[in-house]
Amino acid sequence: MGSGVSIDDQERKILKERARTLAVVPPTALGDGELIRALRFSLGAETYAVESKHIREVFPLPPLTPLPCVPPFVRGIINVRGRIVSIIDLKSILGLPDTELSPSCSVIILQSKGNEFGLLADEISGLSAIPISSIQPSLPTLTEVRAEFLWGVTAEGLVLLDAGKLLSDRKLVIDETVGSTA
Amino acid sequence: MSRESEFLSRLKETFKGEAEEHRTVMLTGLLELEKGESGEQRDSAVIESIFREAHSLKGAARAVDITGIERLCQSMEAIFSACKQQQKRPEKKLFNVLYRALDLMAELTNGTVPAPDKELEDVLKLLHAGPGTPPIVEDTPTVAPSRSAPVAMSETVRISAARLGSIFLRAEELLSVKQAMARCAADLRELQALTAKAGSFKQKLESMATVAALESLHAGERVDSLLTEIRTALMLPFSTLLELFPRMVRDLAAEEGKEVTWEVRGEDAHIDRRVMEEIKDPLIHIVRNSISHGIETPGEREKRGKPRTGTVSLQVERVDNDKVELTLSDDGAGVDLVQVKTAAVAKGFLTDLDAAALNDRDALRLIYLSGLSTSPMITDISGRGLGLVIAREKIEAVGGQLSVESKPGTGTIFRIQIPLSLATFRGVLVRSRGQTFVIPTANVDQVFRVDRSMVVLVENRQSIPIGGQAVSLVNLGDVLGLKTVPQEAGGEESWPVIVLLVLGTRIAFGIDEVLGEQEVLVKTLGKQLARLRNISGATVLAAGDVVPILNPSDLLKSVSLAAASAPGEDGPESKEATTRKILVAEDSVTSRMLLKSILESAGFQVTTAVDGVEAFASLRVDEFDLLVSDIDMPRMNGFALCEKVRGFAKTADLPIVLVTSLGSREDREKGIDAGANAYIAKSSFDRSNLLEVVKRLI
Repeated sequence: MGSGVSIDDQERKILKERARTLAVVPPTALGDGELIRALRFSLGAETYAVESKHIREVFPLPPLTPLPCVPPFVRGIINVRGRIVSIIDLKSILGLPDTELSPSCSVIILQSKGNEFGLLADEISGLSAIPISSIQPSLPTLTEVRAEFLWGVTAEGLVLLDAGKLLSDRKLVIDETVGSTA
Repeated sequence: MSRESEFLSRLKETFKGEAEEHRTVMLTGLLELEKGESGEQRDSAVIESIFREAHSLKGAARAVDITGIERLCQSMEAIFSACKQQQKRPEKKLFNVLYRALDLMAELTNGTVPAPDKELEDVLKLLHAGPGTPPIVEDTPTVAPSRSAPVAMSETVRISAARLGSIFLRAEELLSVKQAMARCAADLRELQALTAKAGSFKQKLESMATVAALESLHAGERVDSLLTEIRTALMLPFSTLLELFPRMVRDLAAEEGKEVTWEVRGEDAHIDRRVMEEIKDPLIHIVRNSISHGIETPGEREKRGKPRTGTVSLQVERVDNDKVELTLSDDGAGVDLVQVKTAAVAKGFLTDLDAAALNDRDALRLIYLSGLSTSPMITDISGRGLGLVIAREKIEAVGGQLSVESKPGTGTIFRIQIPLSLATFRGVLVRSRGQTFVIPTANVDQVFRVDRSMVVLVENRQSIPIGGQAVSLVNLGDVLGLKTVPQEAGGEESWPVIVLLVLGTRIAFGIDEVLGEQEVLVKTLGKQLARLRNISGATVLAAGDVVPILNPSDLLKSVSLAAASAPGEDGPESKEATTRKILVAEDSVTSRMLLKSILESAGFQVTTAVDGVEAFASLRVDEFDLLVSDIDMPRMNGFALCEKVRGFAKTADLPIVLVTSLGSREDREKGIDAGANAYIAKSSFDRSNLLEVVKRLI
């Protein structure tokens, strides 16, 4: 009889131990837990992604009005429900080959407190959840300009853009008077 | 963000609005008390209101846990409670401290000062030291909240400007519904005409067309009245803009050692808040200009037989049903045309001969020239010679106009005409190389077809005779850098031109065609396109097309710039190509990074130093084109650095820009003595300001 009780105790002990082991979340299962959500899109033959928290909205490219007297990376302006938003061509910034606008082009509106513009995307592919730990620093072979706006590359080869950097870089804000640049 | 912290930040946002209201009432009250012109009865009402406002703000500050404001309010409450009891105004010398207290409250509200602040303690000490001030009592007896004054509940709701703006945008979109319906009705009528034969089909179509036409009419009316209503809701009395002026005039006059009275008439006129926001900076600039250049020192005024105290007055008047005219006049010395002409000649804008031949009206216009300043020193206040140009540009950007009249010895009058609302803007639609643009009608002198035989070559440039004068003729597409389209062979015998008139100068622009004139609504180009060359904004046409609006004064500048650089390609351009090197001396890391990035973004090569000693060491070793220096720095301050630089042969002529938080007249003078070329106060410091000054010096 006495041994029966002691076995129960032992069992309880083992069970508790097992429960404790099970309660611990394996540290590597989800790549250290923290995930970011990012929108995947294509630029020519390459696929890029941009973190969704900087995105205000995404829609098919409406009629685009080109502007004179702007650097080539500014493709023009569009009308978004009564507001004018400028469109930036990442291909020009990243040094990718230029392509014609097509009906499948979309606009990704990025927004921060002090800035807002649309990115031209050839095609939208979808949303991904990316573990922050899986993001590697960008490849050393990239040119300086390209590396500047890249956050990193995922294990799957997805190139993640640094939207915060794009939005805050003063180089991308056009503030010119006649005679200041010429 | 957690729900709690989200709530807290919303609460703080609300508090900001509330605090600003209390502060404004207190400020207005203080200014009135300090003037001391109203009767005893009025004084006691004002004292009472300041007391109540301080009390209410104290409570609100406690709710959001901003103890600095709470303590300041408590002290003010105590002071004005004493005033109430003794029935007299606060001591004269206390006013400066009270103003400082209000300033501090604003800073604390915006979180621009850290909570335990030395200045706060200083001000509190001074407030407590106020004569006749009773010691602070821990909790003053309950007072009724200030809102329950004898004024009846006003029928207003508080709505954020952003919310109202977005409602307006939504309403504006309805315009396209209105236009689409009109087009639909027109299409049906056209169909109806085409099917004159087929009986019943025709009947059906007829009734549909009638209904569509009627509906379109109704929709149109509703949309228009909704827009008008919302436009009115966006209007504010002009007085809301003028709240900051009494204080500014007072401070500036004190700083310049002058006595100035500020008068306003007609401030009840309502105007679109967006226009008001755009007009604020230019108006501030012109008022500052009047005080620092117009009004003479008390001694000088007495010598000329004028009252010691000068007057700057602003009259706001509604004109033409859709415009407001602001007349800003001062009874100062007027514009010294001789000095203006001398400065213009010195800067190479005109020759001695031209200057002598210039009539007074044209000479006065010289004050708008960029880079012309009659002050020996570049300061941030005025006399940078840039302010008036920028002020005029900003006024023109909202469809307004600026003009100036001056009577030597008796004063200067600036007139600003601005539209009541941004919507009232007429533009001419033109096409150039396949692209459509809008040109503000206000700047269009005339439109006509020019014949090839009319074109003459003057100094190798095309021009056409207009009213007996040779007017330069350029192609709009060339000025804008548009790609040529194949059919433009240049073989036509005649083509349309549009002649623009900006500040008395005419230039004819060759275009493809004129599409018409219509009302356009100016929209900004978004935050990424802060300012563009030649383009001031955009508008959305009925069909939904986005069309850029051209900036006439930019276009004229572009034309003259192109003309100047055309003959010798490697003139001033090649000088630009070699990167200019700038040394930045600044002890604050934030300011240092900011200066560096601003200068680098403009293409300069920047080296930094953390104090005067390090800066001077760099200057000895390396070559620089310009030095930007802070004043307050450890080891060697900016003044000392200036003197050192001037005393060292290699750097004796180096241009120096002092950037500092010290903004007083003595500091500026000390800066001149030390040998600085320009002086920019950090408070008014912005990117274009710094770059303009730097570019003028190198």
